[in-house]
Amino acid sequence: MSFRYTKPFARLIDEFSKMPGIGPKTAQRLAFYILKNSSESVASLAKAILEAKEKVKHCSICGNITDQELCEICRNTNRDKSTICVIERVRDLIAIENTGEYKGLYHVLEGVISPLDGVEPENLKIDSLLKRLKTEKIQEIILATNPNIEGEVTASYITKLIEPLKIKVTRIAYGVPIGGSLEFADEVTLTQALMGRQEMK
Amino acid sequence: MYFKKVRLKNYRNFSNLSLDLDPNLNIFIGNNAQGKTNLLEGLNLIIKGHSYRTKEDREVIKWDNESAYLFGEINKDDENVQIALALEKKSEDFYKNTLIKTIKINQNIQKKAALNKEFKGVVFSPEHLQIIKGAPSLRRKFLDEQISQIYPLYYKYLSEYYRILGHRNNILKKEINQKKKKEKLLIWDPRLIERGSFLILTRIKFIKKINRLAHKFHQKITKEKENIELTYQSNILKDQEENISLINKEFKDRLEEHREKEAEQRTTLCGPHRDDFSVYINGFNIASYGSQGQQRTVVLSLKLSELELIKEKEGDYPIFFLDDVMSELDEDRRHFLLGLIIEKKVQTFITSINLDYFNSNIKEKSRIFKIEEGKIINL
Ligand SMILES: Nc1ncnc2c1ncn2[C@@H]1O[C@H](COP(=O)(O)OP(=O)(O)OP(=O)(O)O)[C@@H](O)[C@H]1O
Ligand SMILES: [Mg+2]
Ligand SMILES: [Zn+2]
Repeated sequence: MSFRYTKPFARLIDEFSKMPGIGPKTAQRLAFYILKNSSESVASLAKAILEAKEKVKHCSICGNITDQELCEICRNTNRDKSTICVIERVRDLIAIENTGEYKGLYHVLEGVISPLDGVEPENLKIDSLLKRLKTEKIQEIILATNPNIEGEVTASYITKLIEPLKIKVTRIAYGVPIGGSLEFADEVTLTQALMGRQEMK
Repeated sequence: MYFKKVRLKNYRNFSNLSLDLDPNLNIFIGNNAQGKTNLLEGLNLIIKGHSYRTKEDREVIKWDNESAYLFGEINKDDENVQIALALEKKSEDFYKNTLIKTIKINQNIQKKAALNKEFKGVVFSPEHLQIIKGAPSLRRKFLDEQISQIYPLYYKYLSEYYRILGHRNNILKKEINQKKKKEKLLIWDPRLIERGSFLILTRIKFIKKINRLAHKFHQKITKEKENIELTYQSNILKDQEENISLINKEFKDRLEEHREKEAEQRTTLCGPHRDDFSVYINGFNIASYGSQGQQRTVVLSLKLSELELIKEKEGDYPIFFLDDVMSELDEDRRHFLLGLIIEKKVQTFITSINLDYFNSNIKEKSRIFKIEEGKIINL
């Protein structure tokens, strides 16, 4: 019979390995790290996890994460309120913010259309985007979904829906590696992409 | 492009092998199960980063060993390039053994893609007869591999097409509401058509090109007795169309025609994923009427065309790997093949059980290695 860890420890490894990007080996390393740490620091980690889960919510307008009703960007009066950049996930927002080039607002879709992953248009925050377009004074929509097939299809789906509203729609022009994702694009390529966006037809 | 040296350590049935290779023709002679194909596979593995015989890298590690090392020195555009490949089983903890593959080009760690971009090889092994006799999917695979090798954009569109197809079939399988189903399909259809039409057009053009080349080779191999012709069979087009907007339109029409049937069968019924090509010799379909030797010769003509296409694109011939071709070709055909290899100075590795297939002139111009149980025996 092969060797097995004692149950509570195995369970900890198991929980870690459910996290994205964590394989069994890393999960094991993390679990050992927890074990050798002091009880106080482990308690503080557990508290931080619970608190983050309790206090962090999604901005009621754009979907960014925040501990208030509206996120920092939506509250900021210096932002250009006539432009919305539509992105797949909050982490794309952070990538674009880090370029320092973009001064408008965001809208987080929380995914892309991808039937193979069980995601259809109705599972995305598209209704709330359309509502914003009707209530806010928006002049330009930048579609910054990832440059893969799902991102492309989602962008054209949204373009079609917006068409009757006569708002300018652009798609960011990618120097991002094909099949890559925004998160891994470096700041220079992202900046170029934002400046070189093209109008969608 | 040619191998100057190869070194294998604990690879397949070779414990330790070090060879200086001929820039042109190398012949591996030996009885069954001595390691001829293994050696050919190893050389190809060095330039491809993976084996053409197995998906499991660990299979090539010599039994009861933890790692295999392959090393090749290649002359490319008059410069020496060193490729080192290490396959190492790692078992540092109780989790499953993992295999670590490290590829180095001139001592720098590289991805497999870097290797594939720099080095090209064409393999002809007995399994390739399936291109003629096997299911359409095998012919599509052959086509797709060939085209991708010389046209990277094709590979991108191909994988996107299959991804779209997956989404589309998923909708056809899961969505029961007919109206919703159609709405959802319409999101994907324009992309399916766009990528799919590109694939069809590229394949038609490619077949046309191969046709010209293969025809020439085949005439020569068969002393003008056989005319070879390849035709692409698209389930979208009636004629071999070369106008992309027309293909687009036809694809769109076919999709519309198939809507009901697709809903019934819950899968995408038309598109390049269901296409095929046929090979005719003097007007007869070779899959049904060809003799063994004829079929083998057809594959050979296709492979020789592949050689030329890569040369056209890269400016240099790829390395040619011929496993077990000699036994089923008659003397004329063997003679033509070997003559061509020597005339064009293509570096070639050829395995054979019998040295009698090679005449004295060829023997003089080549380097012959006799293989016995994973060792080279001096002749
Ligand atoms: N990973 C491995 N470790 C050790 N030996 C191996 C390994 N893989 C294959 N072999 C041995 O190599 C032999 C096959 O060698 P190979 O396929 O090169 O034969 P061959 O010389 O081409 O013969 P044939 O003329 O029949 O085609 C097998 O008999 C097998 O025992
Ligand atoms: Mg063999
Ligand atoms: Zn917000």
